[in-house]
Amino acid sequence: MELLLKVESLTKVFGRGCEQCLSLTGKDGNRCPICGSIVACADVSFELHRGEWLGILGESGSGKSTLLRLLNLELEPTKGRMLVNLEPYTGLDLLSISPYSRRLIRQELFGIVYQNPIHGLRMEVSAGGNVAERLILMGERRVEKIRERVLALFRRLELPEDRMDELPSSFSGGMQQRLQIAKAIVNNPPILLLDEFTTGLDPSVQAGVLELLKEIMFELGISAIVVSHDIGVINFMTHRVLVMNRGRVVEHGLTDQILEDPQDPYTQTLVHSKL
Amino acid sequence: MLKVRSLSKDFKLHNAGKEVCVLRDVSFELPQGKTLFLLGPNGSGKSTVLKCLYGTYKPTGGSALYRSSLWGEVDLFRLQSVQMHQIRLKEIGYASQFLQVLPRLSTLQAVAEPLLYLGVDKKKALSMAEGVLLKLGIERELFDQYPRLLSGGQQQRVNIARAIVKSPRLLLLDEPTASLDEHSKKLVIETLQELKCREMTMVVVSHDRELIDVLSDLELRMGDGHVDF
Amino acid sequence: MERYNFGFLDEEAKREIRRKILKAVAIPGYQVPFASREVPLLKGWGTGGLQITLSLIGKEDILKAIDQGCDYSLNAMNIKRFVRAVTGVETTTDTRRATLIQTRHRIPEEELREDQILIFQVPYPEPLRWVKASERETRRMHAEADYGLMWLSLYEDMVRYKEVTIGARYPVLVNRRYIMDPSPIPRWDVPKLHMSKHLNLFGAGREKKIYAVPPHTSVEPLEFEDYPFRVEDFSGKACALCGSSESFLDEIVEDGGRRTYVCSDTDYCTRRRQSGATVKS
Repeated sequence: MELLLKVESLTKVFGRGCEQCLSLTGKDGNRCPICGSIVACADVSFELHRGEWLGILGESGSGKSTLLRLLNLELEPTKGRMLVNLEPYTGLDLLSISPYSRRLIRQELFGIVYQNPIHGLRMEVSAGGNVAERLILMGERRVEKIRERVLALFRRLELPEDRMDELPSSFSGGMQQRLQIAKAIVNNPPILLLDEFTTGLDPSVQAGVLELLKEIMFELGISAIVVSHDIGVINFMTHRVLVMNRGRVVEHGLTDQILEDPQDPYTQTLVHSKL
Repeated sequence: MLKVRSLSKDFKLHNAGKEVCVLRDVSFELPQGKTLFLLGPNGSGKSTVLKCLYGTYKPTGGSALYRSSLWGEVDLFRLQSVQMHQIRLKEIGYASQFLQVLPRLSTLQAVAEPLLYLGVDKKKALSMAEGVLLKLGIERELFDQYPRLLSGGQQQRVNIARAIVKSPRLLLLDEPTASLDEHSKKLVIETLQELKCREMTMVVVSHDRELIDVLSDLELRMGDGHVDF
Repeated sequence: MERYNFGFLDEEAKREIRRKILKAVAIPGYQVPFASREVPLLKGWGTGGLQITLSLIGKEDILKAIDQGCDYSLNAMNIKRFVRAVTGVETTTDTRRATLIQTRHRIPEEELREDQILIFQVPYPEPLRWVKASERETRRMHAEADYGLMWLSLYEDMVRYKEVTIGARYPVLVNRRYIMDPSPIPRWDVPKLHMSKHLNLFGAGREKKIYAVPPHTSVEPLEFEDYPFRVEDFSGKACALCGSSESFLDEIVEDGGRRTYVCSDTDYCTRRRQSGATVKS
């Protein structure tokens, strides 16, 4: 499998930070007893391959959302590297470049769907405009072409075409998530980041969104990083999974192995309490 | 093709402070194209052997040298999860006793799914899935149904179809004929026979005499977590 | 007036503004913050432009000042009178003779030369203010070229009205990097900024920002290919005084409701008439 992304020792400490932050946290909590900083994410390393769907499983406060924000280059890490293996950026550490280049590369490589549509959508801009933004930023300057592509995505994501020019705030929760997906994949990025994106939806709506997304991910051959506390979602959407607790990866492996034969005490509690 | 040495498996339950030994010192050798039957009473760890080979369970000890088409000889028990994932996709088929598919995927799509992961074009994948299902006696009328709504016997065959649709080199089957009527069983046996003729290597957990008589090259009798001679 | 330094501002202040101008020239379209001084002019009446003029002007310079193309408006007259008083330099209405031209809301019709500097008075320097209220956010957006929202506002205009509704202050992309507010010039003048021979300096006194479009720099209006940027349409109309049909025209509604048009650039119009141009009847 072709390597797409190699993440090395990604670490985020909120606060002043000191030499002992990492060594003194993790077991009982993630607040450093010396300087009081919060270690949200400590030494996380993994690889993502083409077409692979990688899960990040953890409860709230485990650092999984911080990790995703680091991966989406929204947050400045304390330490770590993020190496891309994609032309023309092969070997480039995304964390070593200027915010300007980061934004350019991010919009080319990543699409993201957030738990809360308010973070992923511009509520003051029409639904179609939301989807169109990336295309325009990537240099498409023909309104006609933009609308064609937006329309095609509306159809694919089973969104009502006649409401393309309405504000997304008038859409239902499930529709807003599908709109976020359309926005995230409009320029066919190789990597999709999904942050608890079905949490808060009705179970029936959730199943529909998950299946539609999975179909589309097949079609596009897209790789994905799926952050969730929901074992059902992780089971359904991922091949491999990292389990996070207190900012650390406590265990990783094939998804069915982690769910059926977890080794770490924390994972065992997590899996058994939810199955 | 497959050499398993001293496979053991304990389940360590941290919360309960318990350690449960399920397998002890299981060894066997399986040449390519041969079929091994795991026999023994319930609870003797037969299914656990399959799950260890498939990577769903992490063995506590031992090795499983497997000659893969991807990288030559590898130890299935020591592969990185990325590599194991890849080997599974390309060359290992596994049909457990229970059908586990997406709740709202049609039967046909569920069977085509493993091919889509391999990058097979959707049309071709669906037609290949169709062929396998028909061979196993699942009628066209059921293709659009959700597998969950099918009968136990039908679900079992859908499960087998999912495992064999990509023509794996190594096929792991857990009680493939347990809930089948005579006619369906005949179809499954015929299909497996055909695969055997095509040099597919199989490890099967079953008590089914008919199946064993037709397919078996080697048998391993297990009792209480170890091989019983 | 001897009590004042040449050019009213003290030399420290002039040097600071010149440094900021150099920075602005080095980063075309980027808004450079500067320490805007008090000048004896109401804020909002061209204090930013005036400070640039005062910090650049030398004894040999010849100054022209216009307000919406007119050399004789109160604002332009006041600025010229003030600069004359604190420097003693010559002022003119002739675009060709001027070395420094301070302007409010217009670019002269006559193409400017390499040795001329055009100084714009800018009321609102931030082009992204339409779409984002926070200064902190707009600064970040410029830094990262995060211009999605700006483009979307144009896209939404297209979708709703089939055209961009912005008249004056049409946003432009400078040197393919920064989105810039060209000050409230009509769209008619926007193409004159593109690859111009002269240096353009923009001063916003109240907002404390200086920015620049250096000579031979690309300035592109934000536009969609299938809805291209268009300047004001004066087809079929001509100046009632000089007969020009190639200049930006002001509409005048006479008593009784009759509409006539005259050149907005008074110097251009005057010279055409002096050289014998008349209204075709």
